[in-house]
Amino acid sequence: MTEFERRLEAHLRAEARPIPIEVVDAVVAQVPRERQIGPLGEWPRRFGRLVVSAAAAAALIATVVFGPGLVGQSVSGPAGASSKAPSVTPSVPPTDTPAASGSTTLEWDGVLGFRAYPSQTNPAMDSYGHPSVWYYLHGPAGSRDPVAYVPFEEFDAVRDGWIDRDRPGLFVGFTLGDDELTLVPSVDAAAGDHEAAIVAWRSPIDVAVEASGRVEVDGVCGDGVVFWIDQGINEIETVSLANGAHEFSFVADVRSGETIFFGVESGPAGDAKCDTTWLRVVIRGT
Amino acid sequence: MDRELVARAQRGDEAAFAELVDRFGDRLYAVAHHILRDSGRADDAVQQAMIDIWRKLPTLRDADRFAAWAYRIVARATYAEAAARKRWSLRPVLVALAPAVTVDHASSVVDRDELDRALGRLPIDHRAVVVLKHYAGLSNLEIAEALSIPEGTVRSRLHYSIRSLRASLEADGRPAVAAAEA
Repeated sequence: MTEFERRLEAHLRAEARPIPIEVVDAVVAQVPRERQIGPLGEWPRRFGRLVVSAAAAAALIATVVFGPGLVGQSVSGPAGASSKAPSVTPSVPPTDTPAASGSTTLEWDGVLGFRAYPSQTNPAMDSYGHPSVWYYLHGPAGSRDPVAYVPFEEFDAVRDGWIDRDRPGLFVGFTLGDDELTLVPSVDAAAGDHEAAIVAWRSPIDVAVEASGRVEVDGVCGDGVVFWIDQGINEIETVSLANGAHEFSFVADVRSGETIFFGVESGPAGDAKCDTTWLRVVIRGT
Repeated sequence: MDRELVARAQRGDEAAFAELVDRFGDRLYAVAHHILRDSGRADDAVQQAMIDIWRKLPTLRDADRFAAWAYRIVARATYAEAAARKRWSLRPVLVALAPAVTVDHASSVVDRDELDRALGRLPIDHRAVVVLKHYAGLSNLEIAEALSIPEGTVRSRLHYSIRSLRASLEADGRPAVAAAEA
């Protein structure tokens, strides 16, 4: 540690404020009214923890009786890629959407669609209850081929994101501050394995959409990333992003089951340093 | 951190949780205050974070990781608090340097003020890394987990931050040195 860092630590210790007693009192007063969250979701504390939510119990029973495939939306992913459901979150039948009643604009927000621990699912339903709308995938960099994409199966509860045990670093998750998704591609130079991190939106209905968003790469070092958007196998946009941010927007007609992919892969030199990329995307349909 | 105390709180023991708040509250609050640099916002963020900690405690699988986990929730709450109020920028804000006339660099008060101003100029995501490293004492890996960023990003932000802090201090000190030499 340098002298400057020692000085910095001393400063932070000296300037540390103690917690105000009012804050402690407010927390202690509020705790008895707050339910704790168990592995299967929120449970009523006053009735003890033998009682779990009806939905979770139903999911658990269905898992035992029918197997996991019927519970967690075992579906064909984009272009037939199979997807396992890593959690016991029950599927919910689609609710009546505004579009179904022919009225207002629908909105799919990538951040709101991401389900954090302990409710993670891949694919995830949208806020209207349509199952299998948001997918978290990885695939060979440069392929731009949905057939080659594979859903993440493992979730890191601490980092709140999807990971692949065979590819350290590869990540699709939730950004601190709750307003962006984090995508980190991976590079294994020795194995020649470059993997793209992908978020996909699969339209639950036939709809004309207008999408907009922002992508930003950690531009402190490395050779940046390549960010791309595809509708199925058709390119919408590709941009090399060495530093900073890029805003995007596009319109598209999509049919039910058609998928739009937002992918990030390592830069042209295959340098994996500083490839962390933050994505904000909102898709509006009428 | 007392593993048994955490385990009791995980089982819904409110007294154990109150004890945790008593033992750990000052450190969590200091982290929030250093990051947000505003008492009112730190109050709100820490109160929300502590309720979140209580609610999510049963999902913590390893009680030994309570500290890093709690810092993560506090960091999340500070970011949310900042975003909610929209009163700052996520980018460095260059504030006008106060005219330094006769500054004695041996003075600890001046030294402290300069360092404090320099910390204030860091972007929040860099300041959070500095605080978690140099106040909370987390490892780079723990910071990466706490802030949901890769470990390499932690290293680069620390490097940038220290360099930026040094540069700010030099910028603050230069007019004073010039004035003293004149």
